[in-house]
Amino acid sequence: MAANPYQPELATVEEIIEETPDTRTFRAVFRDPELRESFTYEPGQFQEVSVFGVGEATFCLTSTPTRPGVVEFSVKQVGQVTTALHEMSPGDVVGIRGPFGNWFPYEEWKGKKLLFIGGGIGMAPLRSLLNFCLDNRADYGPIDLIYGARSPQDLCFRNEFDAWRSAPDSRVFLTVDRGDETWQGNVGFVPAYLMDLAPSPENTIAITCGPPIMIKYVLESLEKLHFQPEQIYTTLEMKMKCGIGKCGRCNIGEKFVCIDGPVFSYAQLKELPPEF
Amino acid sequence: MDKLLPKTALKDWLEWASTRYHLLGPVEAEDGSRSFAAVSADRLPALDNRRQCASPKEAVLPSCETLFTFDPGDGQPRLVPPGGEFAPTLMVGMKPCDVRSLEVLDRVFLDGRFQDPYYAGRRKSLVTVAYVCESKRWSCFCSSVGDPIEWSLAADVALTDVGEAYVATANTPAGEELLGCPAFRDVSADELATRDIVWNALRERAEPFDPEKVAAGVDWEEPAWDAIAEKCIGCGVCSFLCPTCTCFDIQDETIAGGKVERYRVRDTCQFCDFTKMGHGHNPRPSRRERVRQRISHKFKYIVHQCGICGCVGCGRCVELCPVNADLRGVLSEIVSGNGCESVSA
Repeated sequence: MAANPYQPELATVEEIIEETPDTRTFRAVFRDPELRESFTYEPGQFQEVSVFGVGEATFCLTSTPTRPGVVEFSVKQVGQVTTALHEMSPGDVVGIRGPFGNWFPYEEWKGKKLLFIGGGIGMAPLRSLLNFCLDNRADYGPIDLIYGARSPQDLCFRNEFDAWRSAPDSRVFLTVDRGDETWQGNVGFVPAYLMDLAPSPENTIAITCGPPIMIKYVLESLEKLHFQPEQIYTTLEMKMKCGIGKCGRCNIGEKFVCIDGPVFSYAQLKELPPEF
Repeated sequence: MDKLLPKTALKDWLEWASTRYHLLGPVEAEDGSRSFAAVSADRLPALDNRRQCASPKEAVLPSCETLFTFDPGDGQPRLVPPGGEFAPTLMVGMKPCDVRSLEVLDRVFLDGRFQDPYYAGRRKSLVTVAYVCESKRWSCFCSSVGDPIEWSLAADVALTDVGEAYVATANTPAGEELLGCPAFRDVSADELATRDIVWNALRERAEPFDPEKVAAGVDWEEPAWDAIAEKCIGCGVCSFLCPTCTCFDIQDETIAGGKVERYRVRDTCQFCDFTKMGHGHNPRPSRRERVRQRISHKFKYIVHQCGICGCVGCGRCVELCPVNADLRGVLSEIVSGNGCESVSA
C-alpha cells in the first residue's frame, strides 16, 4: 500500500450488481495495472472508498483474495456517499484506500465446522470469508450458512446461493421476516431460526454479522446452544474517517475498531465497554 | 550543554536563527489574546508566565489542511499531493505543558501501525525552545499531572529566567547548534545555581502522579459523568483548545475546474454527530457518553494505548469553558482514592 495512508488509489467501477432495491455490489479494478496484480487483503478487512467531491465511506471487502484482480464492496443506500455511489455507472472512477483492520483468524479454524449466520447487508463481510473457505474447501469441515433478511427481495448475493448450496458438504438455510407468494423457505427471524436448527457447538466456529439487534439475539441464542464465547466471531461497524487509528472516532473503550477490529470474538466483545 | 543568553541579546539570537528557521512564538494580538505567531528580532516573543490561549498544535496539526487534490483531468484522473515543503521552524517560548503536548501528539501520529505523513513532515521540521514557566496562572495544574522541568528538558533548548538573562540548556544536537550563536556567552556557576533554585522550586511542587493508577480509577459507571453532562453544553471548546486533542474529520470540497480538494479539519468527540452513522445509529447518543469518552480517553484509554497521560495540565479547558466545568474537580472526583486527591479546584 502507498506510503501515504490517506491517499487513495484510483479504480474504475467495472460492474454494478443490483442485489436488493437498496443495495448494490460494486466490482472495481485499480487503474494501475501493477497494483491490480499485486493488491491483496484478508477476509474481514475493510477499505475506504472515495467518491471525489462527496467524500469517503467505509466498506468491508466482500470479495475474496482467492479471486484476485477485482475488489468488491456492497453498498446500502443510507447517506451521502452511498447515494453518490448508487448514482454511479460502470466506467466511473472511485478512490480506494486500504486494506485496513484485522481479519477473521481462518488459519486457526482449519479442520473445524463453520457456521455462518448473516442478516441483510451483514452478509457482505461473511461472503468474503465464505467464498475464501469454499476456495480452500479441503481446509475446513462442513460449512453451514443461515442467512435472513426482511423479505425475499432483501436477500443479497442471490445469484450465488446455488454455488454455495452445491459446494461439497455445505448447506444454506434461508429465512425472511415476511414471505411472499413465491417464497418457499423459512419465515421467521434469524435468531429464532437458529434455535430451530439447533446446530451443535462441537468443534464449530460461528461467525455472525447483521443489524446490531440481530447480532445481540444471535449471540444470546448461540450461548443457549452452548457455544463458548471463544467459538463466536463477529465484525463490527463504527463510523470511521481515517481508518488508521488517528482521527479518534471509532474507538470502543481502548480499542479502535479500525486497528484492533473490525473482527472480534464474543470473548473479546465481553471485555469491551458496551458502547457499540 | 548550558549557555547564558542576556535578555538584551534575545533579539540578536532571533536575528541569527531567522536565517535558518521560520520563527514562531507567543505574541499578543491587539485585543490582548495571545497565540503562537511569527516572531522576529523586531517582534519578540513574549517570554513570561502567561500561557497563550491557542496551543502549539496548530504548527504540527493545522486546524484545516489539504491532504491532496483530485484532478479529473481529461479522462486521465490523478491525485496531486499538496505543494510545498515543510519549512524548518523554530518555536520559541513554549511552556513546559506545550512541550509535553507534542510528546503526546507524537505518540498518536508517529507511533503505531501507521505514521501520519503530514504530521511527521511538520514535526520533523520543528525545533523547540521551552520557557520554564513558573506555572502560576490560576487555571494551571501541570505539576499535578507531571514534572514541568522534565517536560522542559524534552525541548531542544530550555530557557530558564535568572533575572537579567536566561540560562539556556540544550538537550539535543539541534539545540546545541542553536547555542552556537554568538549572542550566547558562557554561564557561570552562580548563574547555574540560580537556575537550579528555579528548577528545584518547580520540582518540589510536582505532586506524585501515576498515570496507570489514575487510569485504573476512571470508572465506566462513574456518577460524575451525569454531573458533568448536566452542565456541559457540548460546545467542544475544551477539545479545540486542548493541546493534545487530535480528533479530525475528512471532507471534500469541489474547487475550480472540477478539481476536488480533500482536506482534514479539526473535530471533536463532543459533537452529537461525531459517531452517528449513516443509517442513524449513534453509539454515543447523549452528552453523558460523550463527556465520558473525552475524559476517559485523556486519563485512561491513551495511557493504555500510548503509555502517556493525555492531559498536560495546561488549564486551557478550565479557563475557557463557558459553563466553568473544571477538569481539576472532575479529575479529583473521578480518581479520589487513587493518589490524585490533590488535583482540586
